[in-house]
Amino acid sequence: MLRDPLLRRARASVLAVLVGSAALGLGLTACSSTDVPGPDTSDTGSPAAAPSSSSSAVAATDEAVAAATETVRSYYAATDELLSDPQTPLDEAGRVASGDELDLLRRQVQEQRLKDLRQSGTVALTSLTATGANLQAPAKVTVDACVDVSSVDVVDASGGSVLAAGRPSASLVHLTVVESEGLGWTVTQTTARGEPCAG
Amino acid sequence: MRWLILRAATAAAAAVMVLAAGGLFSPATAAVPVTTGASTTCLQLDIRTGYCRLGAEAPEGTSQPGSAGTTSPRRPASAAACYSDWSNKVVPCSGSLGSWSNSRDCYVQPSAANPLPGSLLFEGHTDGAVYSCVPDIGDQFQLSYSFWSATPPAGPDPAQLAQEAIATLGLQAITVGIVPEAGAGSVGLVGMPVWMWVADPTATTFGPATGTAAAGGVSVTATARVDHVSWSLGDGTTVTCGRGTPYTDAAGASRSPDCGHVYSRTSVGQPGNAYPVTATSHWTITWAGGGQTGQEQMDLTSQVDVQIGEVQAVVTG
Repeated sequence: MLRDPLLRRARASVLAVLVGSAALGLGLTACSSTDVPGPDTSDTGSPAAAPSSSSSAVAATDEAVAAATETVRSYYAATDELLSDPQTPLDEAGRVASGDELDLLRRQVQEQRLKDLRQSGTVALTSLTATGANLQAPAKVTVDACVDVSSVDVVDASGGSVLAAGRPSASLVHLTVVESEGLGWTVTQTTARGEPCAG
Repeated sequence: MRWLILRAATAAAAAVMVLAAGGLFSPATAAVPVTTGASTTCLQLDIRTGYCRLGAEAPEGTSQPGSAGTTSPRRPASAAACYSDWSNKVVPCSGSLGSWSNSRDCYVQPSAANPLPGSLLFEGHTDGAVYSCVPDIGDQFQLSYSFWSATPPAGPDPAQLAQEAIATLGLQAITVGIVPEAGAGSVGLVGMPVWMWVADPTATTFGPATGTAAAGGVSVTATARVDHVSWSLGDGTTVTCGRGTPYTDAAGASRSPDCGHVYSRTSVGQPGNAYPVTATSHWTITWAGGGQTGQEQMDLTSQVDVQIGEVQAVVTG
């Protein structure tokens, strides 16, 4: 859960970032879209402890993290839809992704559709952990997601599964989520190397 | 083979190699494990299928050229201007779907939907315009999409369009005119004049020939003409001529005024007892369009076999 020392250290770091314009350190954890960090009034004991304006800074960070984690959820819901329903317009990818990630996602969906492959089932996000935040425009939050794909299958035109033998049932994915003017929050990068989820 | 797009961020890894393996989902060939022993590591896993989408890197302190996958260009180096990775072939650089974009692997043109700023398709921008991207294989697989661009996407390279224009010319080697005539039924004589010329010259065999290719508002016109013809007579002699003069019976045993030869030995002993005569037409092709000009050379060759004999005087009585 959220009210742990790790979270307090992270917020202390956020405040340091807000003052010093540097990148954020570690670990705001959200177990669900509604379970995002709230105001933290506990004593961190950190040398970067908050000045008097810390509560507003923390609130802004909480808001950004909440928006980013919600965007990650939307991203996976949208990609599930794109890969499951070949009639879903590719332009829908632009609602949740931008930049390199948008290009890559469109290409992935194109290739799957061309090969007449289709996803069944949906991914489950078992944890979302904010690992960094920089609220200077454009605001950016990095998130680690534990993605459970145990209920996902990908089948070819004959209905046969094309999954790799030994596919991990859950993997850690590193995401970068950016807020840009006129576009809102979108995923700009994802990295998955097959790392197991922590814990 | 299809190649996956290197993600910019991960492409920074020096040892990254893109795995070919037939794209995202080719179980028979792309079964790249997430980790192969201690030597390779997947840099980008498709978590849904379990296949590695992006390369493998050698461990620190080692170098494994040629192992763990190989790199190669997405398209043949000799491929012409517009090449589709979807269909693995050269495609027209323009058509009803727009102008071909190699980088996007699709035809691009302003979006027919004509969305306004504020639309999702503007990707948060307020300037520029939205364009459609449609693969050459059409949209039966729902593969097309829209994208925003501040400026109109670059049209085709005029030099590349010039290649299309040249291809439309249908240039051919000359039809060889030669006396003595080629073939087994005709034999020339040592010491007698040989006439060579371009028979029945046309725009496609001697020029000038003109062709145009256009795409994305760029039009390139190419003009080709034969600069000269090199005749290799098969006896070690090469003669450079223009069009030449066709032989007529009225010329009798006179020499060609501009393109001739005299053999000093018979062709007996040559392969087929004939001299191989090749006529190489050297084309000069100039092109202009899209604010650029260029010139190219092209050689086209014809060959015939000519028999040369000799008259031997027989003294009797």
